Amino acid sequence: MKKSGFRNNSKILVILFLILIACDGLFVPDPIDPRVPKYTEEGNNVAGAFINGKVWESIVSFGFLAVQNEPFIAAWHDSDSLLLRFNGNTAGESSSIEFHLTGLKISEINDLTTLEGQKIQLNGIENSGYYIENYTPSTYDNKGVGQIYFRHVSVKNSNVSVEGQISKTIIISGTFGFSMNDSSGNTIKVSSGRFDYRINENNFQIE
Amino acid sequence: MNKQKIKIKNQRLVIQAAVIISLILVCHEKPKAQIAFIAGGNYSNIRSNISLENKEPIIGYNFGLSLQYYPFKKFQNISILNEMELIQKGYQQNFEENHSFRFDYLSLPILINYSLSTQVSIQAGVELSKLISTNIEQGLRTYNDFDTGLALGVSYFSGKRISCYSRLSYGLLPMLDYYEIDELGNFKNKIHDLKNITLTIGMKINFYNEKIRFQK
Repeated sequence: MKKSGFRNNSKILVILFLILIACDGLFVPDPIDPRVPKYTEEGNNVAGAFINGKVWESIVSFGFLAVQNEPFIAAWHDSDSLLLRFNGNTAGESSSIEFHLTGLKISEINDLTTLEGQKIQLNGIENSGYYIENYTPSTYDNKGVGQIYFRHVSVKNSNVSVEGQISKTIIISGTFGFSMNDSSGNTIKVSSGRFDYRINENNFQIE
Repeated sequence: MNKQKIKIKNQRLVIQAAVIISLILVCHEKPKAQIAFIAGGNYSNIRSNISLENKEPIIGYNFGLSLQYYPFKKFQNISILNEMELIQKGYQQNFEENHSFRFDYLSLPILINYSLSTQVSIQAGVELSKLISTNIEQGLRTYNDFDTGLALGVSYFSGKRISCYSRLSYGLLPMLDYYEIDELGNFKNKIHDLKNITLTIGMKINFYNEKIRFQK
Protein backbone atom coordinates (compact mmCIF):
# COMPACT_ATOMS: atom_id res chain seq x y z
CA MET A 1 0.00 0.00 0.00
CA LYS A 2 2.78 2.33 0.99
CA LYS A 3 4.71 1.37 -2.11
CA SER A 4 1.73 2.20 -4.32
CA GLY A 5 1.43 5.63 -2.63
CA PHE A 6 5.11 6.23 -3.26
CA ARG A 7 4.67 5.23 -6.90
CA ASN A 8 1.72 7.60 -7.30
CA ASN A 9 3.69 10.46 -5.76
CA SER A 10 6.62 9.68 -8.02
CA LYS A 11 4.33 9.71 -11.06
CA ILE A 12 2.89 13.08 -10.04
CA LEU A 13 6.39 14.47 -9.54
CA VAL A 14 7.51 13.14 -12.92
CA ILE A 15 4.40 14.59 -14.61
CA LEU A 16 4.94 17.95 -12.88
CA PHE A 17 8.59 17.92 -13.92
CA LEU A 18 7.63 17.14 -17.52
CA ILE A 19 5.03 19.93 -17.47
CA LEU A 20 7.64 22.38 -16.21
CA ILE A 21 10.10 21.36 -18.91
CA ALA A 22 7.42 21.37 -21.61
CA CYS A 23 6.35 24.92 -20.74
CA ASP A 24 9.85 26.43 -20.71
CA GLY A 25 10.39 28.92 -23.48
CA LEU A 26 11.97 27.60 -26.66
CA PHE A 27 13.96 30.24 -28.52
CA VAL A 28 14.14 29.33 -32.18
CA PRO A 29 16.28 31.98 -33.88
CA ASP A 30 14.76 33.91 -36.73
CA PRO A 31 16.45 32.78 -39.96
CA ILE A 32 16.78 36.38 -41.18
CA ASP A 33 17.86 38.01 -37.92
CA PRO A 34 18.83 35.47 -35.25
CA ARG A 35 18.74 38.03 -32.45
CA VAL A 36 14.94 37.76 -32.29
CA PRO A 37 12.87 34.56 -32.22
CA LYS A 38 11.46 33.11 -35.40
CA TYR A 39 7.76 33.78 -35.88
CA THR A 40 6.07 30.55 -34.74
CA GLU A 41 2.54 29.47 -33.83
CA GLU A 42 3.34 26.62 -31.49
CA GLY A 43 3.22 28.23 -28.08
CA ASN A 44 6.99 28.36 -27.69
CA ASN A 45 6.58 30.82 -24.79
CA VAL A 46 8.94 33.41 -26.25
CA ALA A 47 8.80 36.93 -27.60
CA GLY A 48 11.35 39.34 -28.97
CA ALA A 49 11.75 42.78 -30.48
CA PHE A 50 14.25 45.54 -31.07
CA ILE A 51 14.14 48.59 -28.82
CA ASN A 52 16.02 51.35 -30.65
CA GLY A 53 18.17 48.62 -32.14
CA LYS A 54 18.81 46.83 -28.81
CA VAL A 55 17.43 43.34 -28.36
CA TRP A 56 14.48 42.82 -26.04
CA GLU A 57 13.68 39.17 -25.38
CA SER A 58 11.22 37.24 -23.30
CA ILE A 59 11.80 33.56 -22.64
CA VAL A 60 9.47 32.02 -20.09
CA SER A 61 11.26 29.79 -17.60
CA PHE A 62 9.55 27.72 -14.94
CA GLY A 63 11.39 27.11 -11.70
CA PHE A 64 10.19 25.32 -8.57
CA LEU A 65 9.69 28.60 -6.76
CA ALA A 66 8.87 31.11 -9.45
CA VAL A 67 8.08 31.60 -13.10
CA GLN A 68 10.21 34.10 -14.94
CA ASN A 69 8.99 36.23 -17.83
CA GLU A 70 5.50 34.78 -17.80
CA PRO A 71 3.10 36.91 -19.87
CA PHE A 72 0.03 38.31 -18.15
CA ILE A 73 -3.35 39.16 -19.61
CA ALA A 74 -6.13 40.96 -17.75
CA ALA A 75 -9.58 41.82 -19.05
CA TRP A 76 -11.98 44.42 -17.62
CA HIS A 77 -15.49 43.43 -18.57
CA ASP A 78 -17.11 46.73 -17.50
CA SER A 79 -14.80 49.01 -19.39
CA ASP A 80 -14.33 46.47 -22.23
CA SER A 81 -10.59 46.76 -22.07
CA LEU A 82 -7.73 44.33 -22.28
CA LEU A 83 -4.18 44.49 -20.94
CA LEU A 84 -1.38 42.34 -22.33
CA ARG A 85 1.94 42.42 -20.54
CA PHE A 86 4.96 40.66 -22.01
CA ASN A 87 7.76 40.46 -19.45
CA GLY A 88 11.36 40.20 -20.58
CA ASN A 89 14.67 41.98 -20.51
CA THR A 90 16.76 44.36 -22.56
CA ALA A 91 20.51 43.88 -22.33
CA GLY A 92 20.05 41.95 -19.09
CA GLU A 93 17.81 44.60 -17.49
CA SER A 94 14.23 43.67 -16.65
CA SER A 95 11.69 45.39 -18.89
CA SER A 96 8.24 44.77 -20.27
CA ILE A 97 6.07 45.59 -23.23
CA GLU A 98 2.41 46.31 -22.64
CA PHE A 99 -0.63 46.79 -24.79
CA HIS A 100 -3.83 48.47 -23.59
CA LEU A 101 -6.65 47.63 -25.96
CA THR A 102 -10.37 48.42 -25.89
CA GLY A 103 -13.53 47.32 -27.64
CA LEU A 104 -12.56 43.65 -28.01
CA LYS A 105 -15.32 42.21 -25.76
CA ILE A 106 -13.09 39.77 -23.92
CA SER A 107 -14.79 38.50 -20.77
CA GLU A 108 -13.30 35.02 -20.38
CA ILE A 109 -10.21 33.15 -21.52
CA ASN A 110 -12.03 31.46 -24.42
CA ASP A 111 -12.86 34.88 -25.85
CA LEU A 112 -9.17 35.33 -26.68
CA THR A 113 -9.82 33.19 -29.76
CA THR A 114 -11.84 36.09 -31.21
CA LEU A 115 -8.53 37.94 -31.58
CA GLU A 116 -7.44 35.52 -34.33
CA GLY A 117 -6.47 37.48 -37.44
CA GLN A 118 -7.09 40.89 -35.87
CA LYS A 119 -4.64 43.61 -36.79
CA ILE A 120 -5.20 46.33 -34.20
CA GLN A 121 -3.92 49.84 -34.85
CA LEU A 122 -2.39 51.43 -31.78
CA ASN A 123 -3.53 55.02 -32.12
CA GLY A 124 -2.54 56.22 -28.66
CA ILE A 125 -6.19 56.84 -27.72
CA GLU A 126 -8.30 53.65 -27.58
CA ASN A 127 -5.32 51.35 -28.13
CA SER A 128 -1.75 51.95 -27.03
CA GLY A 129 1.58 50.22 -26.66
CA TYR A 130 4.13 50.81 -23.91
CA TYR A 131 7.75 49.90 -23.36
CA ILE A 132 8.50 49.96 -19.65
CA GLU A 133 11.90 49.71 -17.98
CA ASN A 134 11.00 51.20 -14.60
CA TYR A 135 7.48 51.74 -13.32
CA THR A 136 6.87 55.34 -12.32
CA PRO A 137 3.60 57.28 -11.87
CA SER A 138 4.11 58.71 -15.35
CA THR A 139 4.80 55.35 -17.01
CA TYR A 140 1.53 55.34 -18.94
CA ASP A 141 1.63 59.00 -19.95
CA ASN A 142 3.57 58.29 -23.11
CA LYS A 143 1.44 56.16 -25.37
CA GLY A 144 2.95 54.17 -28.20
CA VAL A 145 1.50 54.36 -31.68
CA GLY A 146 1.79 51.48 -34.12
CA GLN A 147 0.27 48.05 -34.47
CA ILE A 148 -0.28 44.65 -32.85
CA TYR A 149 -1.31 41.73 -35.04
CA PHE A 150 -2.82 38.57 -33.54
CA ARG A 151 -2.06 36.37 -36.50
CA HIS A 152 -2.87 33.07 -34.86
CA VAL A 153 -4.90 32.20 -31.78
CA SER A 154 -5.83 28.60 -31.03
CA VAL A 155 -7.11 26.49 -28.17
CA LYS A 156 -4.92 23.72 -26.94
CA ASN A 157 -6.57 21.49 -24.38
CA SER A 158 -4.06 20.23 -21.93
CA ASN A 159 -5.39 17.15 -20.18
CA VAL A 160 -2.82 17.18 -17.41
CA SER A 161 -3.76 18.96 -14.24
CA VAL A 162 -3.10 18.24 -10.59
CA GLU A 163 -6.84 18.11 -9.79
CA GLY A 164 -7.45 15.77 -12.70
CA GLN A 165 -9.40 18.41 -14.59
CA ILE A 166 -8.85 19.41 -18.16
CA SER A 167 -7.14 22.75 -18.20
CA LYS A 168 -7.46 24.99 -21.22
CA THR A 169 -4.45 26.63 -22.82
CA ILE A 170 -4.71 29.28 -25.49
CA ILE A 171 -1.81 29.81 -27.86
CA ILE A 172 -1.51 33.41 -29.00
CA SER A 173 1.00 34.28 -31.70
CA GLY A 174 1.57 37.51 -33.51
CA THR A 175 3.69 40.52 -34.23
CA PHE A 176 3.94 44.13 -33.09
CA GLY A 177 5.72 47.39 -33.63
CA PHE A 178 5.22 50.90 -32.29
CA SER A 179 6.92 54.16 -31.42
CA MET A 180 6.57 56.29 -28.31
CA ASN A 181 8.38 59.07 -26.47
CA ASP A 182 10.03 58.59 -23.10
CA SER A 183 9.69 61.09 -20.24
CA SER A 184 12.60 63.11 -21.69
CA GLY A 185 10.96 63.36 -25.08
CA ASN A 186 13.30 60.90 -26.78
CA THR A 187 11.74 58.51 -29.26
CA ILE A 188 11.62 54.83 -28.36
CA LYS A 189 11.11 52.64 -31.39
CA VAL A 190 9.87 49.10 -30.76
CA SER A 191 10.30 47.15 -33.99
CA SER A 192 10.16 43.64 -35.45
CA GLY A 193 8.25 42.39 -32.42
CA ARG A 194 6.88 38.86 -32.38
CA PHE A 195 5.34 36.68 -29.67
CA ASP A 196 4.24 33.07 -29.28
CA TYR A 197 2.83 32.42 -25.80
CA ARG A 198 0.70 29.88 -23.99
CA ILE A 199 -2.02 31.49 -21.89
CA ASN A 200 -4.00 29.63 -19.23
CA GLU A 201 -6.02 30.44 -16.12
CA ASN A 202 -2.82 31.18 -14.20
CA ASN A 203 -1.82 34.13 -16.32
CA PHE A 204 -5.24 35.30 -17.44
CA GLN A 205 -7.32 37.40 -15.09
CA ILE A 206 -10.80 38.90 -15.20
CA GLU A 207 -11.17 42.13 -13.22
CA MET B 1 0.04 19.86 -46.69
CA ASN B 2 -0.49 17.83 -49.89
CA LYS B 3 1.99 20.03 -51.74
CA GLN B 4 4.53 19.38 -48.99
CA LYS B 5 3.98 15.61 -49.29
CA ILE B 6 4.33 15.74 -53.07
CA LYS B 7 7.51 17.79 -52.72
CA ILE B 8 9.02 15.26 -50.28
CA LYS B 9 7.96 12.39 -52.56
CA ASN B 10 9.59 14.07 -55.56
CA GLN B 11 12.79 14.66 -53.63
CA ARG B 12 12.93 10.99 -52.63
CA LEU B 13 12.32 9.96 -56.24
CA VAL B 14 15.18 12.17 -57.47
CA ILE B 15 17.60 10.68 -54.92
CA GLN B 16 16.45 7.14 -55.65
CA ALA B 17 16.76 7.72 -59.41
CA ALA B 18 20.27 9.13 -58.97
CA VAL B 19 21.36 6.15 -56.88
CA ILE B 20 19.83 3.62 -59.31
CA ILE B 21 21.40 5.30 -62.37
CA SER B 22 24.75 5.35 -60.63
CA LEU B 23 24.50 1.67 -59.70
CA ILE B 24 23.53 0.72 -63.25
CA LEU B 25 26.51 2.62 -64.62
CA VAL B 26 28.82 0.99 -62.07
CA CYS B 27 27.57 -2.53 -62.70
CA HIS B 28 27.46 -2.17 -66.47
CA GLU B 29 31.20 -2.29 -66.91
CA LYS B 30 33.82 -4.61 -65.55
CA PRO B 31 35.26 -3.29 -62.31
CA LYS B 32 37.58 -0.74 -63.82
CA ALA B 33 37.14 1.57 -60.94
CA GLN B 34 39.02 3.70 -58.53
CA ILE B 35 37.71 3.83 -55.01
CA ALA B 36 39.04 6.58 -52.82
CA PHE B 37 38.66 8.25 -49.46
CA ILE B 38 38.18 11.99 -49.72
CA ALA B 39 38.47 14.60 -46.99
CA GLY B 40 39.01 18.30 -46.77
CA GLY B 41 37.86 21.67 -45.66
CA ASN B 42 35.54 24.15 -47.20
CA TYR B 43 34.71 27.78 -47.24
CA SER B 44 30.99 28.31 -47.48
CA ASN B 45 28.52 31.13 -47.56
CA ILE B 46 24.95 31.85 -48.50
CA ARG B 47 23.45 33.79 -51.40
CA SER B 48 20.24 35.65 -50.68
CA ASN B 49 17.89 38.16 -52.22
CA ILE B 50 16.81 39.45 -48.84
CA SER B 51 19.33 41.40 -46.81
CA LEU B 52 21.08 39.32 -44.16
CA GLU B 53 22.93 41.74 -41.91
CA ASN B 54 26.62 41.23 -41.16
CA LYS B 55 26.79 37.99 -43.08
CA GLU B 56 30.13 36.22 -43.31
CA PRO B 57 31.41 32.88 -44.59
CA ILE B 58 32.39 29.98 -42.34
CA ILE B 59 34.93 27.20 -42.52
CA GLY B 60 33.47 23.71 -42.67
CA TYR B 61 34.59 20.19 -43.48
CA ASN B 62 33.81 17.35 -45.78
CA PHE B 63 34.72 13.68 -45.95
CA GLY B 64 33.45 10.59 -47.69
CA LEU B 65 34.02 8.03 -50.39
CA SER B 66 34.55 8.47 -54.09
CA LEU B 67 34.03 5.96 -56.86
CA GLN B 68 35.46 6.74 -60.28
CA TYR B 69 34.72 4.58 -63.28
CA TYR B 70 35.22 4.69 -67.00
CA PRO B 71 32.10 3.81 -68.95
CA PHE B 72 33.41 4.64 -72.43
CA LYS B 73 36.06 2.34 -73.85
CA LYS B 74 36.87 4.72 -76.68
CA PHE B 75 37.15 7.78 -74.48
CA GLN B 76 39.43 6.79 -71.67
CA ASN B 77 39.96 10.38 -70.59
CA ILE B 78 36.31 10.65 -69.66
CA SER B 79 35.15 9.10 -66.43
CA ILE B 80 32.28 9.41 -64.02
CA LEU B 81 32.70 10.27 -60.39
CA ASN B 82 30.14 9.19 -57.83
CA GLU B 83 30.71 10.35 -54.31
CA MET B 84 28.99 10.04 -51.02
CA GLU B 85 30.17 12.55 -48.49
CA LEU B 86 29.27 14.39 -45.34
CA ILE B 87 29.71 18.08 -45.91
CA GLN B 88 29.19 20.98 -43.58
CA LYS B 89 28.01 24.21 -45.16
CA GLY B 90 26.65 27.42 -43.71
CA TYR B 91 27.35 31.02 -42.82
CA GLN B 92 27.45 33.32 -39.84
CA GLN B 93 26.03 36.65 -38.79
CA ASN B 94 28.09 38.77 -36.44
CA PHE B 95 26.33 41.18 -34.12
CA GLU B 96 27.27 41.70 -30.47
CA GLU B 97 27.69 37.97 -30.49
CA ASN B 98 28.41 35.57 -33.28
CA HIS B 99 25.51 33.51 -34.67
CA SER B 100 26.71 30.63 -36.80
CA PHE B 101 24.39 28.59 -38.99
CA ARG B 102 25.92 25.20 -39.76
CA PHE B 103 24.19 22.66 -41.95
CA ASP B 104 25.40 19.08 -42.22
CA TYR B 105 24.47 17.47 -45.50
CA LEU B 106 24.75 13.93 -46.79
CA SER B 107 25.74 14.72 -50.33
CA LEU B 108 25.79 12.62 -53.50
CA PRO B 109 27.73 14.43 -56.22
CA ILE B 110 27.56 12.89 -59.69
CA LEU B 111 30.28 14.37 -61.85
CA ILE B 112 31.74 13.89 -65.29
CA ASN B 113 35.50 13.93 -65.10
CA TYR B 114 37.64 14.92 -68.05
CA SER B 115 41.37 14.29 -67.84
CA LEU B 116 43.35 17.09 -69.45
CA SER B 117 46.56 15.20 -68.76
CA THR B 118 47.75 12.46 -66.45
CA GLN B 119 48.08 15.12 -63.75
CA VAL B 120 45.12 17.45 -64.14
CA SER B 121 41.46 16.77 -64.66
CA ILE B 122 38.32 18.85 -64.53
CA GLN B 123 34.85 17.89 -63.35
CA ALA B 124 31.33 19.14 -63.74
CA GLY B 125 28.03 17.78 -62.56
CA VAL B 126 25.30 17.94 -60.00
CA GLU B 127 25.25 17.52 -56.28
CA LEU B 128 22.18 16.11 -54.53
CA SER B 129 22.16 16.79 -50.82
CA LYS B 130 20.00 15.85 -47.88
CA LEU B 131 20.16 17.99 -44.75
CA ILE B 132 20.74 15.66 -41.81
CA SER B 133 21.53 17.99 -38.92
CA THR B 134 22.15 21.61 -37.98
CA ASN B 135 23.41 23.51 -34.95
CA ILE B 136 20.20 25.59 -34.92
CA GLU B 137 17.28 25.00 -32.59
CA GLN B 138 14.56 23.30 -34.67
CA GLY B 139 16.79 23.77 -37.71
CA LEU B 140 15.42 20.74 -39.50
CA ARG B 141 11.93 22.24 -39.23
CA THR B 142 13.04 25.70 -40.31
CA TYR B 143 15.17 24.84 -43.33
CA ASN B 144 14.40 22.70 -46.36
CA ASP B 145 15.98 19.28 -46.14
CA PHE B 146 16.84 18.81 -49.79
CA ASP B 147 19.31 20.76 -51.88
CA THR B 148 20.59 20.44 -55.41
CA GLY B 149 23.55 22.28 -56.79
CA LEU B 150 25.86 22.54 -59.73
CA ALA B 151 29.44 21.48 -59.10
CA LEU B 152 32.61 22.44 -60.93
CA GLY B 153 35.99 21.14 -59.91
CA VAL B 154 39.64 20.55 -60.66
CA SER B 155 41.82 17.62 -59.57
CA TYR B 156 45.58 17.77 -59.40
CA PHE B 157 47.95 14.79 -59.58
CA SER B 158 44.89 12.70 -60.39
CA GLY B 159 47.07 9.89 -61.73
CA LYS B 160 48.74 9.38 -58.36
CA ARG B 161 47.62 7.48 -55.30
CA ILE B 162 47.24 10.72 -53.35
CA SER B 163 45.74 13.64 -55.19
CA CYS B 164 44.16 17.00 -54.38
CA TYR B 165 40.95 18.52 -55.54
CA SER B 166 39.08 21.77 -55.36
CA ARG B 167 35.42 22.19 -56.14
CA LEU B 168 32.85 24.94 -56.26
CA SER B 169 29.27 23.95 -55.58
CA TYR B 170 26.51 26.38 -56.37
CA GLY B 171 23.19 25.62 -54.66
CA LEU B 172 20.14 25.94 -56.88
CA LEU B 173 17.28 25.37 -54.46
CA PRO B 174 16.18 27.77 -51.71
CA MET B 175 16.93 26.50 -48.24
CA LEU B 176 14.30 28.62 -46.56
CA ASP B 177 10.55 29.12 -46.96
CA TYR B 178 9.56 31.89 -44.59
CA TYR B 179 7.87 35.26 -44.34
CA GLU B 180 9.14 38.73 -44.91
CA ILE B 181 7.90 40.65 -41.85
CA ASP B 182 8.29 44.41 -41.70
CA GLU B 183 9.18 46.45 -38.60
CA LEU B 184 5.52 47.00 -37.67
CA GLY B 185 4.77 43.30 -37.96
CA ASN B 186 3.06 43.13 -41.35
CA PHE B 187 3.59 39.94 -43.30
CA LYS B 188 4.63 41.22 -46.70
CA ASN B 189 5.59 38.23 -48.82
CA LYS B 190 6.36 34.59 -48.50
CA ILE B 191 10.02 34.22 -49.31
CA HIS B 192 11.88 31.29 -50.81
CA ASP B 193 15.47 32.25 -50.35
CA LEU B 194 18.99 31.41 -49.10
CA LYS B 195 21.11 29.32 -51.44
CA ASN B 196 24.39 27.64 -50.63
CA ILE B 197 27.72 28.39 -52.24
CA THR B 198 30.74 26.37 -51.18
CA LEU B 199 34.38 26.14 -52.18
CA THR B 200 35.90 22.84 -51.16
CA ILE B 201 39.58 21.90 -51.05
CA GLY B 202 40.62 18.40 -50.13
CA MET B 203 42.73 15.32 -50.59
CA LYS B 204 41.82 12.09 -52.26
CA ILE B 205 43.50 8.82 -51.30
CA ASN B 206 42.90 5.92 -53.66
CA PHE B 207 42.71 2.64 -51.78
CA TYR B 208 41.37 0.47 -54.58
CA ASN B 209 43.01 1.51 -57.75
CA GLU B 210 42.58 -0.47 -60.89
CA LYS B 211 43.95 2.24 -63.01
CA ILE B 212 43.03 2.68 -66.63
CA ARG B 213 45.92 3.67 -68.82
CA PHE B 214 45.33 6.07 -71.65
CA GLN B 215 45.35 4.32 -74.96
CA LYS B 216 47.79 6.01 -77.30
